[in-house]
Amino acid sequence: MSSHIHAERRPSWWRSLWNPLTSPLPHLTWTISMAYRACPIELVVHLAGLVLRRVGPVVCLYLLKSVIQVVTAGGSGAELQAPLIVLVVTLTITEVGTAFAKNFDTRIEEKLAPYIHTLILDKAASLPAAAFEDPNTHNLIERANRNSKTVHELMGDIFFTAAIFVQAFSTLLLLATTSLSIAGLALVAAIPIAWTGTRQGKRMHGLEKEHSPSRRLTDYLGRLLSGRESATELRGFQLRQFFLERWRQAFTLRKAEFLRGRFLGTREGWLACLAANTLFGLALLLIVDRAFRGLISTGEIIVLISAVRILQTALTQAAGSLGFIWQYGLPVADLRHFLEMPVDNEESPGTHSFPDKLMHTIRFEDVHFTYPGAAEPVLKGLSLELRAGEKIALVGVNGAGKSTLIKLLLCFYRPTSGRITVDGVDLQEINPASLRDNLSCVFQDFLRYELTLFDNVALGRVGAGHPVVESVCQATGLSDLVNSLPTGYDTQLGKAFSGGVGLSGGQWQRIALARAFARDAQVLILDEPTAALDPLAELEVFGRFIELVLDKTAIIISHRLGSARLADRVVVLSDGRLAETGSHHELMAKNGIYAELFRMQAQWYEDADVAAAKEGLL
Amino acid sequence: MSLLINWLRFIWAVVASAPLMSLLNLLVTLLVGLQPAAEFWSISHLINDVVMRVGAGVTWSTALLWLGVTALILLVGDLARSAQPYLTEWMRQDAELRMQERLLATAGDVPLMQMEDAEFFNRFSRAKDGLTQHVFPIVSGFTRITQNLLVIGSLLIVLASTNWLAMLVIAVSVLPAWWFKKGVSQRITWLWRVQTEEQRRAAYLAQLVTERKSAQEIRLFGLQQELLRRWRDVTYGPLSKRLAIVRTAGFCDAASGTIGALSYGVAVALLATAAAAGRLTVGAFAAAVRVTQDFQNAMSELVWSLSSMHRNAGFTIDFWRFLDEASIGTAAQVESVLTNLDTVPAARVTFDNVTFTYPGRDRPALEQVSFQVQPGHLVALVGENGAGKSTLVKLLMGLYPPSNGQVSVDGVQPDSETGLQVRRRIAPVFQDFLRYSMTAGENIGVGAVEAFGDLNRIEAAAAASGANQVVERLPAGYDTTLGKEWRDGAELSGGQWQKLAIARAYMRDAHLLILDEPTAALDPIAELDVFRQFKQLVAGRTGFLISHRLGAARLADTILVLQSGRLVETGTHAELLARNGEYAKLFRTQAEWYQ
Repeated sequence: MSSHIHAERRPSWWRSLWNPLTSPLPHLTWTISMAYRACPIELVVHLAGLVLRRVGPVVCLYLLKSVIQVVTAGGSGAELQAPLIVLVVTLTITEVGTAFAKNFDTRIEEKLAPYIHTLILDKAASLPAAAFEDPNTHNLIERANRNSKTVHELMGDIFFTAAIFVQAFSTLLLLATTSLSIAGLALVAAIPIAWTGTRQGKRMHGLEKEHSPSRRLTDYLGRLLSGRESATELRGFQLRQFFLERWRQAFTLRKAEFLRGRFLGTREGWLACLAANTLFGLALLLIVDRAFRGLISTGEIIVLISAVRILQTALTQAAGSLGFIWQYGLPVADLRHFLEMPVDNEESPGTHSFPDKLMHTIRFEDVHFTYPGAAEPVLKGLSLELRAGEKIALVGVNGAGKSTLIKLLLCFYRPTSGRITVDGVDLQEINPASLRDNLSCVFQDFLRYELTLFDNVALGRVGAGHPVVESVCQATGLSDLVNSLPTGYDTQLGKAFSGGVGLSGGQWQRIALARAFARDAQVLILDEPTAALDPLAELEVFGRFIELVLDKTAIIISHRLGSARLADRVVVLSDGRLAETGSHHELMAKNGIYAELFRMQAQWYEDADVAAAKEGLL
Repeated sequence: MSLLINWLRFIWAVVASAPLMSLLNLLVTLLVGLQPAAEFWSISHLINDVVMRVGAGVTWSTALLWLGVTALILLVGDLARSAQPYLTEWMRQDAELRMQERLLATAGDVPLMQMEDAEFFNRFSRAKDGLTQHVFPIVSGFTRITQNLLVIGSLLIVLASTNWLAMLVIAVSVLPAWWFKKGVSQRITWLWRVQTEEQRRAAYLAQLVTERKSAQEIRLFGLQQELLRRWRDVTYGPLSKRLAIVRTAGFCDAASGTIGALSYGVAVALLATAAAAGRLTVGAFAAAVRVTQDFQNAMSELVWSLSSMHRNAGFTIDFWRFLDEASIGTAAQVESVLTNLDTVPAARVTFDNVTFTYPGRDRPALEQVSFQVQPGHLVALVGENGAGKSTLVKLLMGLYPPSNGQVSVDGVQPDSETGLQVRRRIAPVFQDFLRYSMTAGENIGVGAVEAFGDLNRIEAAAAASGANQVVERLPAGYDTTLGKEWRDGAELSGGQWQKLAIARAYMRDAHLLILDEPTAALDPIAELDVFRQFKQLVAGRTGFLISHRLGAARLADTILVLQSGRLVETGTHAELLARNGEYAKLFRTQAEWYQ
């Protein structure tokens, strides 16, 4: 038993090399296959160019040997011609290979980035809405996004390392033809260099990984200082100097971390360098010794010295790129983890479709719901019936469960227990597409798309053409706005992009309403739409909404209780349960929660003498 | 030319920010750069000795001497080379600190007016991305250029004695490469500038797909595929343009490579002829053949780094342009000078014929607004959306300068240089107040920078505003980190954040308070709470209140009614109702709900 635990605590080093969490090696083939899928031709050309670039100099060296031999032998110009021509041809091939290697690398970079990004976006789009409530998902996406470029970098390092090994191997071959012992010495010199390079890569990875706290802090403070959302408050409270100081502290901290990492790397690098150079010195000694003994010619001396140098440079570079493989391999693991994460898509395929015409009721039957990871349930046995064609006002204090009810109805979440039925059919058994076509909603924090006005409306029904958009805009009272905009429907909205027109909260609200009505849904939900509206605009939105949903089923959530009177029925939620239901008058007469909330708001508008009492309240 | 100036200005700024490191870097660069020439010298001696030994009687010891010298030269060069990353990192970090700081300081200082413009963010993101992506290449590029110049210079000196013509051939052969590269990098810089907006658009669409804020709406409307399609359009369109340039660059590179190879061949032929004719020793010839490749590498690397300098210099233009054009703000100088504040308990506010037009708009947002507020009065601003309420408040805080007319708080124009003394004493509760991803205590403390760490004052502010109830429930009290930015950050509800925002205002020793009613939905109880707290906060000081709930305006001593930028009515609640104008109409509409 104890030996078993021991074995688990200390996995053998070669096993840890294949652990996808701590070692980049398992991700190398994945990286190459990603690059191959994004741009196969470029990849092959790039690799071929790299090999030419690396092997070319070694071949040239071999050719130089014959040139030198001719010269030292006092040969004539005619004798030089043949080796020189071969040399120039080889060199040309090498140079063209180098140019292609670099150039195709840029092409791969350009093509690979959007390819990886598409995968990330596809993945994010396939996640259910509920996944986004989990901060963990958010972190994963953010990390995947930031690491999307490292696939290219890692690919580059793998190829670079491979090409260098080819070069080192061919150089060793060249050395071995003259002297096996020199080749052996050069090989031994590679060991300390490779070792320190890998260590340095691991170290720099630890520093550069995106979730290192000091880096996130500097990024956050930088955004505060330069962002649009924070600009007003920063100036209102004169916080610039203060945040700048904090940013500087955070950055200095980060800087110290980095420099320490580099310092340790340099120290190790020097040791490796000393060791390697001693061995190279020995190799030189061997070469000279052989020359003295007349075993090798002048040409061979220069070739050997050059070969040893080429080998040394190559090995140093290999150490660097091995380090980079460690440095980039682990971020790629983050990315891969996100892309290969199983999608916990709770949407069942659904055998039923939404009834063509809702005849009876939408019914909540003893619905309980707890958010994943939360301790307290939000809905605690909610039973509720919405009749076809009914307009319901949903009322309750913050946290009573109103928005959760909507999320369950829209199938973003499944009830923890209990069920929701539409004309007797369980909501879970209705296929999602048909469900979407029949439910529409104006969210409390609806989106303000930085797109054209046309797009802002048409996105409510993908593929909607001009006739649909225009009729919806007319119905929702947007025609005046459209006419007042410089290029009508094609006007870019929002301030983020050039030519964009900023709109008021009320105008955005009306556009959101139009978007919700662009689809011909049977059930419409209006979630607290009036927060940013003035009284007249509020009246208009409600009036418009009621008019537009005459033959539909509708749910309105509002904290302005006066508007509840427009509904056929008021439903009051309290603490995750149905507390009261009935018409405005019935509930006022009942003198319960609703009546209390209503009076609290009504007193703002009471006559002056009553207002005196309110002053006391405040 | 301006390119070179901008680049040099940047390099100078880097050197000035880390003088010692720059010197060390130069020293190491010198060692690395002179290595090939030294190597040529020692190897040619070594070979000559060895070759001559075969003929005449040279002893082992001289050969050993040259062997040692060669080994030493190689070792020193290698050691210097492996110290380079450390020194460069140091320089880079210092440079990034200094440059980013200037950038952020400027961004934080730019008048709010400029930030209304989309072009501002285009320029800022160009400057910032340029900085983060190109600082390192600029710093290391500078080192590399120096190093290659040293290699070339020193080799030219020692090699010219062997055969100057060969060296000339090689030196000239890089010129076409330089010319090609220059053209390509100019086009890349230009394309980058043109494509900034498209890239931001792609980033925006990607954000819609990946962000929590938009997750629900996008799934309700089934927009995932549509947004992805648009993203692909804005991503792949610019891509094909960039690839076209890359393709051209590839042919140029291949052509210059071929020219380089030919010239090397010619140089070797020239050297060989010289050696064969006895004008060159065997050792010198062999060593020259060897270092000629170093020479050529240095030349093409020089071209490469010069061309990337060219490209990077393009980004330094964006960087300097942003700094030069944006730094109009004056906050920096005044903030440090100002020491003591006046202690008037309540502010007197005067708007004298104030007109304000947003940049790039035809219609003014405020037009000829005049009013006076007595110290200690509470003013309610009322009007439809877009009537100019928030704009008026921003003028009052000195965030925008009036286009015409004058705003004064206690006789000081809040947007002027001396305005800081009144701005410091204004306590705003913003409509879209910030939710800092910092601790709860810090979220309150930012209300008064000078008392940021003063826990007593923070606790007092929290107690006065009722935020202490929020803080008490947090696991680590005032030290609890808030917000989703961090892994262990606690999340608060909208109402709880609102309480912290009000506590922030309590931190200030303010004589003028401003409440812009939050857009977030508040239930009737929470709403009453906010007004109650604000009323308490104002007590005895001057206050401005923006609320959509007209009932709340009754609390005010004066109500200002705005309609499309004009001040149409002024008076108390009773006066305005009696007048039966705009205010009465709005009030009755809202009251109707509750009859």
